[in-house]
Amino acid sequence: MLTCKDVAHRADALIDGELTGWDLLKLQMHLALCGACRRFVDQMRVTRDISRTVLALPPEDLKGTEAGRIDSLLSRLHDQKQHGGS
Amino acid sequence: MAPSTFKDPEFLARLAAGDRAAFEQLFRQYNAGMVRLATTILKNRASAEEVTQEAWLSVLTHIGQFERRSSLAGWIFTILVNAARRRAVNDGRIVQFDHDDRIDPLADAFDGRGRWKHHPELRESMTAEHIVADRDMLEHVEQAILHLPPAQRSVLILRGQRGMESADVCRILDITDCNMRVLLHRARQTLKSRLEGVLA
Repeated sequence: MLTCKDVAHRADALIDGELTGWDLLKLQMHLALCGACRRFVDQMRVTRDISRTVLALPPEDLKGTEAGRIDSLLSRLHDQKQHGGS
Repeated sequence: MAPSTFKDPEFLARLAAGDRAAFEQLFRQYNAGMVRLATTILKNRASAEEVTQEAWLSVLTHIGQFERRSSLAGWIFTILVNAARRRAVNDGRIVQFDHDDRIDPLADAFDGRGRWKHHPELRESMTAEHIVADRDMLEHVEQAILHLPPAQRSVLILRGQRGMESADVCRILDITDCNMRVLLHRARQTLKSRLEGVLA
């Protein structure tokens, strides 16, 4: 039987869908009986979602500059090809 | 377009042909993460932006050589990290991702039998929607991520990229799977504690 400490250290693998077979089953059995660990896993899932959401946003000073940067890159690529660079 | 289709041959062909719309999709998906990761490595925002631009040029130039053995995200971030490593070496710095001497944030959370000393609580206000809608909270999370040790922050950034596989993260940072999991665990634990502190 896993302890709460074991579950806490496997929580990332669980929420990232990386546990399978017996490892997953043992953890699910513990969660079925332990409300504290269920809340911990929920906390970790929310933390993962928040960090992903925040990291997907452009840094404040880059917001709204994407179109210009894309044009600049494509222009540099065009120049590079014109001059036979790689 | 969902990131999974970034490996679609038709999408890659459009990219190789210089299709602006295809490149824009890719750029909007990954540029923020690339700048964040390059900043983490180089500790200098201007250099990070230069390196990111160079990485994008390299991606566009060599997209025909992408063999789909890794995810496209993994391939792009490999190019970025290699460029950032070269820049760091030129600047006289050594870049390592396997060093993290911080203690485990959960080290003192359990009794001798592995049970919680204090039961975790889930706050209703701790949701991604709530955080993103609140500018101050967003800033708190940004700052919390910024204050993570570089190795933890790098893993968190890479694991947050859509389409990125965990094997890609290990290869890009040249760390073991076990090390990557420890870094990710510590990063999320620290972030969770900071969020709980702000929401308390």
